[in-house]
Amino acid sequence: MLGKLMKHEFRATGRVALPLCGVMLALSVVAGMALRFWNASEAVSRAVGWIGTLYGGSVFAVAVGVFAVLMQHYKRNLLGDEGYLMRTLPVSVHELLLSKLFAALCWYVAAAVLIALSAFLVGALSGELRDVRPGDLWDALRRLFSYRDASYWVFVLLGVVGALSVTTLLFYADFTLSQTFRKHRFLYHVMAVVIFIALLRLTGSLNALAGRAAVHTDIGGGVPWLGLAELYVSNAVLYVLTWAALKFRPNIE
Amino acid sequence: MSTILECRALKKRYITKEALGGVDLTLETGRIVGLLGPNGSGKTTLIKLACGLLTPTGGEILIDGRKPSPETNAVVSYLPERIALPLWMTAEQAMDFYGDFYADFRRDAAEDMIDRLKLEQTQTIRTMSKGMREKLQLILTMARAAKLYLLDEPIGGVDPATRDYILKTILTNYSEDATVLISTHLIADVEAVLDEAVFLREGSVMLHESVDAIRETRGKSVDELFREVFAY
Amino acid sequence: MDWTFRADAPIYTQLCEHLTLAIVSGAFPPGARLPAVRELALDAGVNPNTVQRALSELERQGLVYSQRTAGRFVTEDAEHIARARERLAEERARVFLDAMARLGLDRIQTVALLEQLRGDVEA
Repeated sequence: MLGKLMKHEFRATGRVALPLCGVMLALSVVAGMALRFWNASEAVSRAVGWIGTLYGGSVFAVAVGVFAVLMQHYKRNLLGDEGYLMRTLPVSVHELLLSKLFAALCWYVAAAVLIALSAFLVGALSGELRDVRPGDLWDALRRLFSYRDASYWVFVLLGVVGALSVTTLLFYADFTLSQTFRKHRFLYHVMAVVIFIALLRLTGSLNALAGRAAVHTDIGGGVPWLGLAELYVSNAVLYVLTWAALKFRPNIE
Repeated sequence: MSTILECRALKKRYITKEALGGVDLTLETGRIVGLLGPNGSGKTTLIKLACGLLTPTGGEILIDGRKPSPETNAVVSYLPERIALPLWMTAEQAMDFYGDFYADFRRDAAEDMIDRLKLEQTQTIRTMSKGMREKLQLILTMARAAKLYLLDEPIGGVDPATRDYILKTILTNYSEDATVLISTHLIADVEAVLDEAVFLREGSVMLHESVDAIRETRGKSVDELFREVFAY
Repeated sequence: MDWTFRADAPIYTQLCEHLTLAIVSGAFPPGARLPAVRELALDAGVNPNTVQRALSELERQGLVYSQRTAGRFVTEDAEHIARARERLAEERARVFLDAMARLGLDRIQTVALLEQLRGDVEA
């Protein structure tokens, strides 16, 4: 059922997210071609500037917009009236939550890829890349990855995924818990901020305990992985809180 | 004849209020049962407990002998009071959705009912009127070959002709292996369709009898009895 | 068919009456096949179990018999139907006489009224 739920997720969020990305890609094409004339004349230069700004704005819009669509969809689909449909499906709360989390992570990757693609289009169409050959890109990447060993990149990957996941779950948890404490929402949010700050300070203290110096010098050592572990513990805590709130909420609205 | 729904000393307490204070109820298959009571008597709470939307604070509720779970959701078809369908979907996409998640969804029956009620398959739910949305939701709910149908106020906000159609749809989809639980205020309209009536008052079952028995022993209809029992 | 039901009696007994009326009036002639339970239920807007009960009652009274796979049929016993008609007519007549009595008419006045109306009907 997880696959079906994710399919539904992509369909529901893609309706808005894909056109947004489409606009960005279209603008990147326009910007790329316009860039050829960047020094044609005073007026044209200014127009090109505006087009570039538009394109830049669309990139920002995609970055923020995709996230906004995902968050709004979570709220509406599980916590709004649609929840009557979704939460009576023959699926577990785990499947509901995980499908949304995984779909969100996929969207982050997709958005990043599309943004990169749009930048590439600008470069390619404006002729700026005319001296670059496909082989060059490959070489550059290979050199980048060779600077560190595999464990470093695994660490980075896990860190990025963990961070994206924690951010997403933070919002999910906040939406869900604030609805559980609907009647005392302000109080809940104050409490949530206090707890969040306390957690950060706790993490900071743990790092200090483990010896800060070690973190910076030796990435293959045990300590940075402690930071990663904290990240995933936070993930787990937020996940369990959200799951519990969805499953045992005193009321649905 | 077997038991499809069983409540044993079922309790649901919120922080400030006790919605259900010990409900004992048994429903057999092949029955159409009316869950009747004033607002706030716990009808919706009982139905939500059966769907797994709420968890009991005391006692237990069993669907086909099992606690509410994804497995029981697969045999329970729930019609909520609100419109729960995503507004961006078309009727066709909604049918796809139901077909995807519910193995007992009968696509042909749904399409037939959609035709009969003159709904457009390609129309988005957002552009439908409230009445059309309610009809679509009912169609999707009744097009499933479930064991237990939980209908929360199915005829509340619709015109009399639609009301008739909804009751006829319930009768058409009636099966000896299934039970329909209808929660409603509009007792006079549904009485002829009911096998049994359950009166719920302030969170407990006041009465659970067959409609025939009520008429025979008290010489009045369920509607009249209700008005008496819940008079102010 | 007129499917209106009163509030003070079980629906299945009223269904029995309606169906009996249909049989004695010839709407369902002797030997005719009755509609299926589901169809009757839909027509009358009534629970199928109630229809079943009504039909069982008619079977018990001998107005209707069932052939396992073929369905339910009106009896071909014309005498039986005639007796049912008489019974129904008598019941209705009693109700009428009772109503007249409550209006204050005695037997003679009631008969006179009937004679007068019969004249109207035949004209």
